[in-house]
Amino acid sequence: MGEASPWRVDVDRDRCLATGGCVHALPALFEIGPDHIAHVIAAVDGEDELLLDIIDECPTNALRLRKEDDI
Amino acid sequence: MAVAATDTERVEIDFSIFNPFDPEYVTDPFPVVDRMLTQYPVAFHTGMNLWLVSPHDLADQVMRDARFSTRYEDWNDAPAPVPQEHWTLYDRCMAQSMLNTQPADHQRLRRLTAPAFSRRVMDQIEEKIRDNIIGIFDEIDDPTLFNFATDVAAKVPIRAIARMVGVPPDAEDLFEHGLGWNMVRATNPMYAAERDTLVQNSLPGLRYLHDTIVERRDREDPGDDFIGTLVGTEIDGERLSDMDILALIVALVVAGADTAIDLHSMAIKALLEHPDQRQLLRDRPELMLSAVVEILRWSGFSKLGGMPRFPMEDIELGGQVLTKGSLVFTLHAPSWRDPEKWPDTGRFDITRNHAGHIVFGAGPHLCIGMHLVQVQAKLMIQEFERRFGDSARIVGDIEYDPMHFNSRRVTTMMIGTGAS
Repeated sequence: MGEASPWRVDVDRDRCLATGGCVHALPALFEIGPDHIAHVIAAVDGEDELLLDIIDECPTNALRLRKEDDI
Repeated sequence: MAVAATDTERVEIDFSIFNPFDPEYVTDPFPVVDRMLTQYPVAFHTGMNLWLVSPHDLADQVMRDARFSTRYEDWNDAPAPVPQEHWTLYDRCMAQSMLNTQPADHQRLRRLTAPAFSRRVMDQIEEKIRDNIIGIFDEIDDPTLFNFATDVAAKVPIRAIARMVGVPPDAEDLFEHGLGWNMVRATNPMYAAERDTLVQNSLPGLRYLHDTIVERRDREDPGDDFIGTLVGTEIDGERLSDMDILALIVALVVAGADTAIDLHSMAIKALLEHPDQRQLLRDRPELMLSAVVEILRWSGFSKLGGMPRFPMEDIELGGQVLTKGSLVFTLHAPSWRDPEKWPDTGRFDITRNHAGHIVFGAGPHLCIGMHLVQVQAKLMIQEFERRFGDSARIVGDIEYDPMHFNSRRVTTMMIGTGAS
């Protein structure tokens, strides 16, 4: 049984402008959907340093990392 | 009855419908803006041989959609490429430009340049630019009555970029006139006929910048300023080459030196014409960033200043087929003023919810200088308020240069003040 990750990355639809930096750095985790917004498409590892950098570097500040308490 | 897009007539307009070089347009573009939005949302301009896209939602889509290229070689009418053995520094630089690289290279460059645009470097740059902007106000001959457009607005952006790059005072003229204005025009399709001369004239400035970067890389410690950070950044074993850095600086100049000039003129125009909003900004300085976005949105000053796009296949948009290899411009003034997106669109309101705005573009080519330009505008407004406060007023009519390609270029905006 795979363990569900408690981590989530929220994409703020009002902020995301599809610059695509997240998709370039982490193609297995992000994609730009047909709605031209970034989507999270895989389980999130909230301790991955590259992910933390990418969240910091998002030019429109559209990504938020959070941990779900009860999962 | 629904008709397949491929069967529909191409909607064509000419200079009688949209003429951004008409004196009437530059004085009051909004009747034309309304007509473009309501009657010609996606239309082919036969006089300029290009597509114009006006509504907010469609312009947004074009900028985000990877099927629209920003590379000149994807344009059917692109000038024939210069053979590589004849490349000048200009050609080598443009080949590396973020405007011209393939999407994967572009993202690599964007990632490697991110640290140079970090909060830390931007704070440092804010301090450097502050003196520069104070200096521009100090240079005003007669502060009781002066032309804001030429005395302040025209000087701020290129000098701010020079400061950010770290150009020493004795090379500022070479940077501003030798490189800056030649490159701005050489990269614009409207100046295709003069391109060779413009390119030649830009070479000494390019060589100077290239030497500066090489010299910095040779130092033991490249430093923690903008160029130093670009030289020193290493991510996953990758670094920026000298040509990458040169191309980045050129992209900043090309995209930022001219376009931002009228932001400053429009900022002062908007604030002086709306004393309530001006007071609100004084009372609530935290609204500054929102005010800058609103100045850009409300003023509709941009003409054809955006990045050209070239469809890489036939693309249907708004019931029209944008053919492969054609030239497409999203029109800023209409898209920023689109009433479908912006209720009561003509009202200047710095408290507006700007979520989803596209005043800095969208998609992979989102304006890389957007933080720099916000810092410039903030410092300029603060210094203007500090010096002149309530005594400032616009004297006489504002005059524009109708032929300017990029924007409703303000040539004269006389400001009278009680400064002594």
